[in-house]
Amino acid sequence: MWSTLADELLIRVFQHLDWQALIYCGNTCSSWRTVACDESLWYDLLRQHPIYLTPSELKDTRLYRREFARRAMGLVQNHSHIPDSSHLAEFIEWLADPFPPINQFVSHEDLYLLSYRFEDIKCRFMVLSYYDNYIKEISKVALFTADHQFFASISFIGHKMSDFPGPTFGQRQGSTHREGWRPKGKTWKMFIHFANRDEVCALQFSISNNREVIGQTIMLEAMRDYLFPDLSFDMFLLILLHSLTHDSVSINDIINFAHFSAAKPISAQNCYSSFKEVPVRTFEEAIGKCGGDFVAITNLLPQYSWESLKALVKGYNSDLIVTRSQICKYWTNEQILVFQTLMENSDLSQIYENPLFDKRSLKIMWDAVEFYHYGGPFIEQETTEEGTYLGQKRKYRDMVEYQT
Amino acid sequence: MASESISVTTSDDQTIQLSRKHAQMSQTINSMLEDSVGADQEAIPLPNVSSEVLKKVIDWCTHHENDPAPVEKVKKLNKKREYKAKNSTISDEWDKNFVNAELRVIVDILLAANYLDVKGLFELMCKHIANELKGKTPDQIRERFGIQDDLTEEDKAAMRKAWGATKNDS
Repeated sequence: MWSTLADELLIRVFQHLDWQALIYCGNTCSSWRTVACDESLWYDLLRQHPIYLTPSELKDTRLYRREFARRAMGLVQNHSHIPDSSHLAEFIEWLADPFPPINQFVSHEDLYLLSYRFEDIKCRFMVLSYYDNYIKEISKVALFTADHQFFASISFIGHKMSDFPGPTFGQRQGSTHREGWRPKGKTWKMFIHFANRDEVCALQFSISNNREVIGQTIMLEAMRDYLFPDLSFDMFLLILLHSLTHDSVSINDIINFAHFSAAKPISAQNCYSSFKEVPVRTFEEAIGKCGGDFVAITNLLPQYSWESLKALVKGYNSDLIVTRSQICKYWTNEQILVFQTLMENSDLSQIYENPLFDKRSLKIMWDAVEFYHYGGPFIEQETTEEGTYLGQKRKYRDMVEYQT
Repeated sequence: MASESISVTTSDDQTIQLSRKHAQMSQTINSMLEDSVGADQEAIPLPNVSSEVLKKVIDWCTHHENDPAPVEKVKKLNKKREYKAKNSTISDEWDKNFVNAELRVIVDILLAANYLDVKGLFELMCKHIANELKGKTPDQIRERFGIQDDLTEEDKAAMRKAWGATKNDS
């Protein structure tokens, strides 16, 4: 009876299992093994437990299960084992994908620092550490310019003292002064490490709902206390943008910031201006050559955006699976940043009702939304029920079609 | 005006009356009712559900008749981009007693809930079965669920290699 249960039912049961139970179920009988190997189950587990897949490994979805199990099993089989810096490196590489790492090191306090190129001047980086069997993201942020390297981290409110790396992290090199991590109410502390100067400074600023005030505070703090002539407001702005980007900042916040600093406005529309629609005839010719494989198509037509290609390929082959790595390959970092910023901020209406976005590009955005949240196309029965994802999708899709 | 009770015929040729409210908790029966508006009210055939199991389903529907309509929770957009694990905890005491049955009955209810498309009941059965699987070794699972071990040594070796081997081994 059990071994003949329909696969789709068994998958629904297995969706409630953790990875270990799933492995054990897969070792039970041949039919259960087939179901337990279903990539969707392992992809879900991978999303729940960000365990150490490098970007190169992520390119091959067949590796999800094997790598997940191999590494997870390693942790369990040896209970005394804790993640080490190599695990950490793999983990944050996975987190950081698709930003190519340009600089990374492990500090003497086992903090792992990593920076990523973001277009020509910007970078982000993460500070992580590990305790017991858990890897914790302590803080993240940073920036990088062609001339200078700056590393910064911001400690967020609400963290326990034990979450922080210790009293020496903020220590200026060559100084006896130590900056401790002491969460004081609504206070953030920013550490900036000038990598090419072997110098660290720590800035402290207060949380405010008014982001302009935050920016001003940081800049004034820096100028008053540290007198860094080349630590311009733009630099601080970038730091702040990156930190806030990962903490639910909206596109309007970014634009306000940009206006405030008199920097070049960051327009979401600019980010998406590189979208190019693929002429159908061109697409049909290409697909005749390569038979509908998404990667092959994109290689044949590199001048077109992946969204446009994928929309067409999906029409050709509804079973298409496009991986996160593939998406990243065809998005610019800026596109990813803006999109992630919006998606992390709130519900879909924030995107769809934002006048900065070209309505005609929104249909393409659905695919990105689905990949962002589900790692693939969201295929389920249509519904118009308000408050659900699909309900929203229906509502806004209708709106887009009407306007176009 | 629509009748307040619906007749259904089960796989063992029993005719069972159930309230319209309960019937509408099943998307399958609901669709059949919508399709048959204006037609003679004959008993709805449910060839895949026995009377014993249907009574269980009705029991569950009776207990949950005032629950809010199910919302798409599993794949709900998540602000923090964290993928939440499905919660397999059964919190309702009545539900806990309800699933306290033989596995044979549980799987029958699962199949019936799937066929009748009663989402809450289906999820409950999935959770219960998953909870039964958790914490058990393959041998214990086979014993508990009465599954024949049809994996060959080659299969097991391949699985060890695929799931447990290190990079160097593979």
